[in-house]
Parts: sequence; structure tokens; C-alpha cells
Amino acid sequence: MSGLGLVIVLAAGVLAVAWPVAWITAHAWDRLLTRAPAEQGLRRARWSLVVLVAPLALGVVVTLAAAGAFEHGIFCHCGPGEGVHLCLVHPAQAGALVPWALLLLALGAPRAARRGLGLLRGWRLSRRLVRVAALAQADAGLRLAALGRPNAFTVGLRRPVALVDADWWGALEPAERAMVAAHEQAHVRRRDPLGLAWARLAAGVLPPAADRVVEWWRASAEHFADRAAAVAVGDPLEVAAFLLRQHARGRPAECLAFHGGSMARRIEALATLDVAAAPAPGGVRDGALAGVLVLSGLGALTGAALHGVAERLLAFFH
Amino acid sequence: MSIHGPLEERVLTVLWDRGESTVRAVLDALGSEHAYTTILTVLDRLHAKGAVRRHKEGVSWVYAAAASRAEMVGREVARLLLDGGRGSERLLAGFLDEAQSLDPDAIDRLERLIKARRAERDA
Repeated sequence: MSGLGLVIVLAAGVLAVAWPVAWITAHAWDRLLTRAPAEQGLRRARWSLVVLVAPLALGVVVTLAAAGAFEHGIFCHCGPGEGVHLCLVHPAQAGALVPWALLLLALGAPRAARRGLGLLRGWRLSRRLVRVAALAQADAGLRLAALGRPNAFTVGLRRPVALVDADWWGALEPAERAMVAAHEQAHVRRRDPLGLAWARLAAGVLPPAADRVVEWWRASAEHFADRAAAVAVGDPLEVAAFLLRQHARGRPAECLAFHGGSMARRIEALATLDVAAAPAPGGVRDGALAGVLVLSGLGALTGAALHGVAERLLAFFH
Repeated sequence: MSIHGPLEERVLTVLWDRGESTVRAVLDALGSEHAYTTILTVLDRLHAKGAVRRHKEGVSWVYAAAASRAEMVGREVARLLLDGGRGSERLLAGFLDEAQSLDPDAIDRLERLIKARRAERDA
């Protein structure tokens, strides 16, 4: 059994585990997330992604171990008569699985490739948009451009900028301008386009059901930006009424439409928002905790010492 | 029209800031780091692209931006978004969601919700 064959088998095994996990997670949490208060949406979306991506992350490390990347990895010490151990696939037995593994990879690869190419195009587009936006005149932290549509949006992954339609901006009342500026600056501060890109990349290697997580993420990011707008003017109902008024004017005819989360849900969330209450915990703590969990899992699987301890424990109870 | 290169952008910025300018005036505004002929070439290129217009005053060409800063940036943004193709706009977060439209019943319901919440608060 060659190393390449083993890697193919393991990569397919990773997909075989990750896809059902993603499918079940996305469907089981769908109702929970759409019913949850908007404040909790982003947090749950992050955890959903951790759950969805964890099997993939672990699988990548296991595959690297199989390819010999770690000296004392999972497969280095396999041998007959060693009793209980943690090896997932024995090199000697993996050969028969290679054709099936290739079939499984062929099923999953096109979607991942399409999503990867789409994100690459999006990344290049973002860079060019940011460069062009830098030419525009700035007002209240936003760049003014004749977009031909009454809207504002944030673009750019590393250093995002917010663009607003100059005519629309000129026609807004000062309080309305404050709402739009606070909303878009919140996206800029939180680097929401980057978070969205990561979420789309992670969901891209999983079944289409995982895209629901990306939409939860987007909806929650919009909610946090709406909260910033409400804080800026001190009245969430003003923001809700403004959003509804603008949205009721009708959508533009352009073929590319900006997405901004469900308007009805955003307005409902604003109608029940208490700006005096503390906002939901930030993403840094959640991200750090998720990172620690994933790293612990990786360490347990790949570290020779931990691996040996786990094996001895298993042998003891066997 | 597409804007290429940082020098073209800087020259356009000078024209937007100062209004009508000769090559010499643009060169002075940019500092002495460029040759006269370089700025002349850039302005010629921008004229060929339709980004600047020009007329002669005496022996000198006088250049001006063909569109306002906001118009030119807006056009370029629209062009990039259309070139990017369907799907690329999904990386942008719009203040208003244009991909979805609320039906009149939903708008009525949300209006009533806002009114009710205002009444509750003011009571």
C-alpha cells in the first residue's frame, strides 16, 4: 500500500465523516437558530462552523500523519500483535478502499473547487474595489460614490471600506446619516466581509445544507451593525422605521443584488432591542475557546505522548 | 473606462481637487518626482480612455476630469461588480437587502409592530 493510496483513503474518510455531520448539524440547528434571539445568532453560527469544520481539520492532520509528516504520528508504530491502538486504517488494508475513496472524493471535489474559485474571484474583486473606493471623497468614515442605487455596503477583507451612494447620502436627514454611518462602520470594525469569506470557505467543502450557517452568520452580523446604528441614535425603533421605509421603496433593477440578511428579522430584532443592555459576548472569546478545543483535539491525536497514554488506557480496559 | 495604475489615480485626484489644470500645474501638484513627459503621457492616456477632457488655451492643453469623483468611482464600482459575475456580490454586505423584497402584508405587519412598540414605550 503506497503512502498516496493511504492519503486518498483518509481524505475520503474525512469527507465521509464531515458531510453527514454537516448535514445533520445544519438541519438540526436550523429551527433552533431561526427561533433564537438575533443576539445569539452569531455565536451559534460560529459554533456550528466549529462543529462542521472540526472533522475536516482533524482529518487533515490525520492525513498528514499518514503521509509521514509527523515522526511519531498515528501510523508510525503500527505493527501486528500490539493490541489495542488508535490507528484508523492499517496501511496493509487500505489498498482495497482506494477506488471507493476516489469515488467519494470525486463527488465532493467539484463543489469545493467551485466555492474556492468563487472566493478567489471575490478576493480579487474586493481588493480592486477597495483601491477604487480610496479615490472617493470621505464623509463620516464612508466613501461617497454614485452607485445608482440607494444603498451602502462594506467591502474589503483585510482593510474593509464602506461605500455609500452619494445622491442617497445627500438626501438623508442627519439622524439617518448617523444610522447608516454607524451601521457600516460596525461592519468595518468587525471586518465582517472577512468573517463572511471564512464562513463561505469552510461551508464550501461541506454539503449545501452548511450554507445555512453562512446565512445565519450574515444575519447576525447585520444585527450587530443594526445595534450599533441604534446606539448611535439612541432609538432602535427609529432604525427599524428607517429600514422599513427605505426597503418599502422597492428594489433596484440591477442584475447584481446586495444581500443584507432578512429585513423582516432585522426589523423585528430592532423592535425588541434594548440598547441599554450589554451586547452579546464578542467573537474573540468564542474564537479563542473554539481554537483551544480544536488544538486540544489535534494535540491528542498527533502528540506521541498523549497518543501513547490513550493507547495504554485503552489496553488497560480492554 | 477603467482606471489603471496609481499614477493615473493620482493625476485624476489632482484634477478633481484643483479643477482644470495644465500639465505643468498637475506636475507641480504631484511634486518633482515625475518628468513632464510622463505626466503628459498619463493625461493623454486618460483622455483616450474618456476619463479626462481637454481644450487648448494658447499653446497649452488644459485638462479636466470628465466626471465627478463620485460618478467615476461609482461607474468603476458598477463595472467591477458586473465583471465579477453573479456570486461575487455575496462577499458584500449591503445596508439594505436588495436580494429580497418584503410583500405588502409583511410591510404592514412590521409597521404595526413598530407603532405598537412606540406606543408601549411612550405609555
